[in-house]
Amino acid sequence: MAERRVRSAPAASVESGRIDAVSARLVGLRYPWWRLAIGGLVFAATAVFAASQGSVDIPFGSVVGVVLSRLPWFELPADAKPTWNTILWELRLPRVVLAAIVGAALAMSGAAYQGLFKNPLADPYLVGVASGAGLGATIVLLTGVPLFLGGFNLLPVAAFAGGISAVAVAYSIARNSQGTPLTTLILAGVAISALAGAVSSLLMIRSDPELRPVLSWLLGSFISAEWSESGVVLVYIVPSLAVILGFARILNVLQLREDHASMLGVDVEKVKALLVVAATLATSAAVSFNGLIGFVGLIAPHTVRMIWGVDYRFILPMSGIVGATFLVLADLVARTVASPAELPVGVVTAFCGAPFFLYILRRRRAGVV
Amino acid sequence: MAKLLKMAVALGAAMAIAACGGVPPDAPQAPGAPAPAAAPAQPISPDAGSPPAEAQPPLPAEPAAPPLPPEPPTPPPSPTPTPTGRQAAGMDTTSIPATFPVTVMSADGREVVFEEPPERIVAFDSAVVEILFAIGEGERVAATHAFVSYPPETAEIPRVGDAFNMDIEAIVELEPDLVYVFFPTFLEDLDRAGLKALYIPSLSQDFRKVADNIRLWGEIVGSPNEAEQVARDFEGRVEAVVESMEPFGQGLSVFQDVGGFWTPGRGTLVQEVFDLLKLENIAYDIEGYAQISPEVIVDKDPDVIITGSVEAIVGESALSGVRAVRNGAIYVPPTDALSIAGPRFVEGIERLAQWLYPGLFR
Repeated sequence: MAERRVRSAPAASVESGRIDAVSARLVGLRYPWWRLAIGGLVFAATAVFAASQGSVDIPFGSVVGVVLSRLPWFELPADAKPTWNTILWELRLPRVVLAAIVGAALAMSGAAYQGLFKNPLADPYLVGVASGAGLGATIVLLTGVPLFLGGFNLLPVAAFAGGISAVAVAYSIARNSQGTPLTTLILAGVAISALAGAVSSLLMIRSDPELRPVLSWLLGSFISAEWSESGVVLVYIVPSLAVILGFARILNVLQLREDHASMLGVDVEKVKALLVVAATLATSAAVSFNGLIGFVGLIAPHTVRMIWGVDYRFILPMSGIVGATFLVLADLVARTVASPAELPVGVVTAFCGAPFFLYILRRRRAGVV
Repeated sequence: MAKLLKMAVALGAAMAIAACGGVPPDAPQAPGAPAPAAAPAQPISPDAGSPPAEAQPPLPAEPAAPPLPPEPPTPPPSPTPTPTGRQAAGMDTTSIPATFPVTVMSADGREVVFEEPPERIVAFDSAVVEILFAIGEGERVAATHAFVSYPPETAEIPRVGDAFNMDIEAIVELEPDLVYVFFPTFLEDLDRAGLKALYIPSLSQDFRKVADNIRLWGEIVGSPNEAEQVARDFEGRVEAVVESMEPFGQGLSVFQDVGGFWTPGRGTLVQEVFDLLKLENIAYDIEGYAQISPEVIVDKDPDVIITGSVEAIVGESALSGVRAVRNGAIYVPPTDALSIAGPRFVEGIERLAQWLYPGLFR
């Protein structure tokens, strides 16, 4: 029904108002702000709860007291140990914040990829970002490249370079005179993933048997999160996510056939390129410090779409909230369930995420959602 | 990815092996015999084979030595000099005749019989290569794996695999009369290739058994006297450290970082060394090796940190308030001796002991 309406729309109309109109006709006019607000509140409650829990027991009242003590008119509570200040401000809070940023970035990139590729399996790792970043990190961790250069950690830089290179190669291979066919891009990405993964494996079996740090990175972990990392990551993620959010209406229209979107005056090639670059940038930045955290980019957008419908103006921000909440919770489990030892957070996201996702799929099949 | 998973599983299995059969947790609690006589000029210490004098603790700044264990401030009393270490080995050199055939039980249940000493050994294990060189039989090592680096003479030895792979073809080509492996993966392949294989898992608990391994290899290669000497040297030096530490109660707390907050807990050889040196491992609640929560490091505030990279510890701003970091009490082991359960393991213990208690060990 939606298709018929668009077909009747006059071709070559370049005005943005028409895109709005088509987008609105496709997804409905009402925008559920209140759902976003509730989602935000749930996320805030989750973050506070996560900050109050850890392998070192700190009473909830002291957590609040220590956190508030940074504000000018609050004093450090009398019963607080000095180490609690360090634990909360240097270890737990940076971790919760970084997990939230990374979760939001992975989920929103995932939503963008799924909308762009019209492929339910698309996630931020599809076009080779993960394997490319993994290869970059493996090279730094296992070969003679120094891990620190003048006190500067090279690991995220290498991961970032690897991820971006993989996407650039996939894109340049897929591109032809007519444009960039998405199927070719995905296939090229899959091939490059396989190649980069093979090179990583080769490096691993040929180098020192001390594989634990590499494994930790490949499974993802927030164990060394610092405030400065959140800062670095935000520099890349904020502009990327802004671009993605700015294309929400166009993503709605892109769910039609591409030639129909073109008729509405959308420069499909430009949109595709911009969205791929933005989502890749956000993903590479998100994984660079913390390793390959899987599943968030896949399940958060799908959950939102299955429960709350098809409007990308809503799917994108809500996916961000769901992804952030989910990853903060997953990291909480990772650092407390085997205390004083830690689990890789990527293991937890898969362990908790997969059954939850299957449950959603099942409910949807039964027609409940 | 499947490969990676396999490795993860292998690593997990290795950790599980290291973890099972944990060391009994009885904390060495020795309130200390009162020092009866005046302290001797020098505390007892292994007089032979002690590490070179230039073995300085590689501290980032001025080596602010960590405080000694609090209990008795005076050095331990020297009992009547007991013959330990090489002295003993040198004194009663009752010659042991090399007897053949030698039968060794392989860990997979086969009996491996040696009618004569094997001439060409593919020794797929760092510790065994070290043992063979230590007893003067290094020439028998025909090949080894890619990560063996000690002694320096091993640089010339052909490599026939790494931690996960064995090049069976290359091994057949070398025509060895024994292939030693510390993991069972390739036993069937070796058997099919008509090679004589011996499988003994590497030590994951009770490092004193290194001496037994030394004696075992002495028997296999027909040099029981040399092996006995090296084994006694090992035992004597361990015993000397034990005796020096005896008067002390539990002392400094320690955190060892093996990379990315991975740390050895109980049921590891490292924990045994900590027990021996009266160190309290802050990761004692962990079985085998695991990643420790950094919160716990801040909370337990270790006196001493052992790491491969000072930068990795000092660069972690959350750890800047930890006592070991404030005092510069960060130890970077100068060699890999403590990660290989061979004859040099005791040297690793001695060096750590010298760094920890410079007044007690020369």
